Amino acid sequence: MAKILVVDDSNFQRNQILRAIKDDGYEIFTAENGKIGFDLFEEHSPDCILTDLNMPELDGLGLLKLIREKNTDVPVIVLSSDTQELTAEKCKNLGATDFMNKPFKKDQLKAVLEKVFQ
Amino acid sequence: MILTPDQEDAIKEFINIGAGHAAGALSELTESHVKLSIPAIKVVKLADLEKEDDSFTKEISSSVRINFKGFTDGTAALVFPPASALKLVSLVSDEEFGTPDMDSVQAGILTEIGNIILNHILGAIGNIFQQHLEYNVANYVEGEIIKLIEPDDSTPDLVIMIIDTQFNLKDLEITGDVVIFFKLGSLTKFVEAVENVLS
Repeated sequence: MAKILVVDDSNFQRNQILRAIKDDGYEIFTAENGKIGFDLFEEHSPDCILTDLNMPELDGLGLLKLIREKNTDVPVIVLSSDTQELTAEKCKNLGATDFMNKPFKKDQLKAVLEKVFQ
Repeated sequence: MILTPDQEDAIKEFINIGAGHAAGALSELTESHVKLSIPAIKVVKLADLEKEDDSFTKEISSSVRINFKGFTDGTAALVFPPASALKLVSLVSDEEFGTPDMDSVQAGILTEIGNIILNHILGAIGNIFQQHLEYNVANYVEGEIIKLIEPDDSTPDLVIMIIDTQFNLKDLEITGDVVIFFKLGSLTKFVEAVENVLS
């Protein structure tokens, strides 16, 4: 069973993501900021990470940097409300696998995950 | 600072682009058609805020705030009368709420709605000016508008841009305001960026 780590400080958004993918056979872990997210990443070695950008303690870019410093190529998909092209570019430059704007369509998220696990 | 008609028109257009994207986002969340319109923009100083006839300047509001920094620095807020805020949260969460007070779950939902709307509006500005803005985490604020202002910024000369915003969804009129507090000198930088785009 593929493991997915969902990192978002909004309980509402975490629930939206869970609702979208809960029946797709993934084992899902959730964290409310990048710091907790990184701890869960080290503990569970997820196969894919879905992360928000703006979060307290450690933001999504910080989490992405820490993960890439570990020399892992685990897919990291950024889900953010930030619609600036430069932000998406920054994420790609730091090694994000994909960048999606919130709110996301359920099918769009499923398609991205299917692509990741192909 | 008084905006020229051209500057005001351009700013309204930039905000409208962001509002259009925000309406699309809100439409996804509520699964209904959303119309978001910006009928007016005005710029006032904090010292003159009390003279304004907008209800939010005098009444308790439910607001979501984001600080931004980059080519211009300040705070953007989405300010709702509490009844409008609850209507919006009910639509997004598909739940009816019996009490007029907002609990932490509802405040969390409003924060995320505000986060998305403000990000679309600020994002459109960043994209149009091709300048990057950094945001902090959105937070919920309940109370008078003065509570939205960072203590360090609270001077009589603080410049505030008030953008009347009308949401129309599922035939419900939900009113609110997008309010931008510019740090000292930041509105000038913002208007310079507008002038650059215009020229």
